[in-house]
Amino acid sequence: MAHNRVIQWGAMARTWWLYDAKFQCPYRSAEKLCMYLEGRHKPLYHPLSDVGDHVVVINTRYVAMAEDLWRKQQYKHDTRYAGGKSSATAWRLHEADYTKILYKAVYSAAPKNLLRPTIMRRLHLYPEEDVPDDIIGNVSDVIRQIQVVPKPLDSYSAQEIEEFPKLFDWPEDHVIYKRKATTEKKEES
Amino acid sequence: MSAGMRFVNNLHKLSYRLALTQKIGHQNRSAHISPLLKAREVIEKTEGNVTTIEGKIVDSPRKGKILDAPGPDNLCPLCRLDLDVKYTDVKIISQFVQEDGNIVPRQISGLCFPQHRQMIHLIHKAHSAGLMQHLRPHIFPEEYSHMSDHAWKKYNVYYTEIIEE
Ligand SMILES: [Zn+2]
Repeated sequence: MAHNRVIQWGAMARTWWLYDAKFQCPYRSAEKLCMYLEGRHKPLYHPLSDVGDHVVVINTRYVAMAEDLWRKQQYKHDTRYAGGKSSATAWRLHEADYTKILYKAVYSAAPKNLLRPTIMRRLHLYPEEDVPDDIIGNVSDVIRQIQVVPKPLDSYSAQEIEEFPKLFDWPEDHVIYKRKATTEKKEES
Repeated sequence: MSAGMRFVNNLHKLSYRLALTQKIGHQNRSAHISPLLKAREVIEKTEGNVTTIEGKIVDSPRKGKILDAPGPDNLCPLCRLDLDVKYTDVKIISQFVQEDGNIVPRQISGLCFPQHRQMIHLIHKAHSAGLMQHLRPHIFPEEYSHMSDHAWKKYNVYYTEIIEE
């Protein structure tokens, strides 16, 4: 039947996925991305066969780390020369390259065999939302985010905050303090 | 421990009992019975060499928006509502934050001590995650505050409460 041939094309084709890393934990997203990169979400998966998909990750600059991991997580490197050992905290590595932390997280979550370099080549990381047209043109589906993106208080309008039910009222002798205009946030160069 | 020390250690409990008897901590329940609640606004004017500071009595900004929560009268508003407040619920948390970024005293907010302690943690988490950037404590230098661009503080932070499977 000619129809079976088309079914096989559809089954073996490499699809492209999009993932928004904004406010997502890099280590927990890496486990989810690896499932798509290895092809573990397909029924024809086998650990020795190369059946994985492509994953395009945007907003890697805005990944979120748990509590104080930006300051405490250490990334180590050794050149194997004398005095070649070095280590950097997560925020220093992130400053140098905004895609490095997610790359290292996926690299350590990927299977430790000879398929790992080919799996890593199918991961496309972008620090912001602008992706080249020849990459974003292939994308056909979106991977769901693992964490809820929190809404800051500034994103609500003043009327929305005012009309929200209040749990207690100010006492009679309460003095309304109006803070002076704060210094504007410094813009990054 | 002497009797005097024990009295000093329990002073906060004593003041809370006093607040209960004087109905300071539960004004939210009697808001619709008692006369209109007022607040004061300090206005500072400078004309040449003369500076005038005026304490103007205005209506409370929360007038008419107090939630009449069901439940027994001796419980605090959060216990009566039985809410599972998380640090991302900034509309609730910001009610317990003063204009200078600190927590509202328990005698005013009327929270019980376990809820008050929980609220301290929630405010700290919301501040560190950058969710209430215009309510931060302004007494610290900029590099110690949670809004600054100092080193790791400009990057996003989450706490394990909001992880969803
Ligand atoms: Zn309570």
